[in-house]
Amino acid sequence: MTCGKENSEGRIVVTMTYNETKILRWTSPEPRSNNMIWSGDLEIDDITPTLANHLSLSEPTLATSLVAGSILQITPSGMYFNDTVRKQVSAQERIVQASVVGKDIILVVYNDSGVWTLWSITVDVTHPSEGSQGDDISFSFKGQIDLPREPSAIRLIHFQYSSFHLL
Amino acid sequence: MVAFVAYHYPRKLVIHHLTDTMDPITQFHLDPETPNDTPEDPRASEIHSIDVIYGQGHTYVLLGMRHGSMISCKLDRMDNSISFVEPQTTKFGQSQVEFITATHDEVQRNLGPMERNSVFVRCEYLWQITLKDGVLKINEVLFDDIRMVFRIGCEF
Repeated sequence: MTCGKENSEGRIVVTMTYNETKILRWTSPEPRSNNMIWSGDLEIDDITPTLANHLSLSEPTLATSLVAGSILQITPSGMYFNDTVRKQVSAQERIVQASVVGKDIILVVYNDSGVWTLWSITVDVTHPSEGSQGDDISFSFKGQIDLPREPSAIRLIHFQYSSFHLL
Repeated sequence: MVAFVAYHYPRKLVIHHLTDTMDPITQFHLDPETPNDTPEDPRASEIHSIDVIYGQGHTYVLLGMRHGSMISCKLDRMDNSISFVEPQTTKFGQSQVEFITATHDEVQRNLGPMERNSVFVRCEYLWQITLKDGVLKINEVLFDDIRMVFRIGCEF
């Protein structure tokens, strides 16, 4: 995930083999503007402890994205944004697969009753009025459909219908 | 927006249109000769990852398989129905085929028709798949002293 001026800084979200999550920050001493030659040198720091209050680090990360400058993290227990914006599934449910593009999310949720469901969710970001601080961020539920069985893979794709030759 | 959902037993790919109902639009059976109620050959490799590449009026679905191969098939439109045609298999290695995809918003706003004509694949080595003149080209990414920065898009 890239951010910062001249594409010179970003985040790497890593699920470890023991199912914990680590967050790394990479920085490039040189600018990384598009089509420019770059040495490939990166500096990488582990910033996991500084994000312990914002993200769920004791679980694997199923999918992640940068939204409004913050890391959106999806784990089996829910979706995490920061210490105040999060949406957790019930104790009878767990997220088993996720795909994210920008602010749009699809999830496969397994319920203890044996039902697999595909959820569609969007992150809503509204810019605050003058005088208040930070963006107002929330999750909005778009729809769901029960699946016949457990999927082996899922993928969310953005298409502009006007330019998509098929739909 | 659409969601691609892959299954095994038997292997198939279903495309859902992400409206309120999220109804399936179409589906593609990888083993059309296998009836739905027959368990698949357990040795068959399941779909592990999915990506799409499109541009210049052509769209291909790329299916990364568990055991080192990729199935590409062209999406074709006939009237209001969509079909998967010309499936082809490419063997990269033995390990699972993983597409390396950006998660930021790739929708171009007010920039005309959008194209997504290159994706990267990891399977033992790094590969790049490009769509040129309606044909997929696959090349291993070789590292040397010169690195160019390519950005698909970014929200910042």
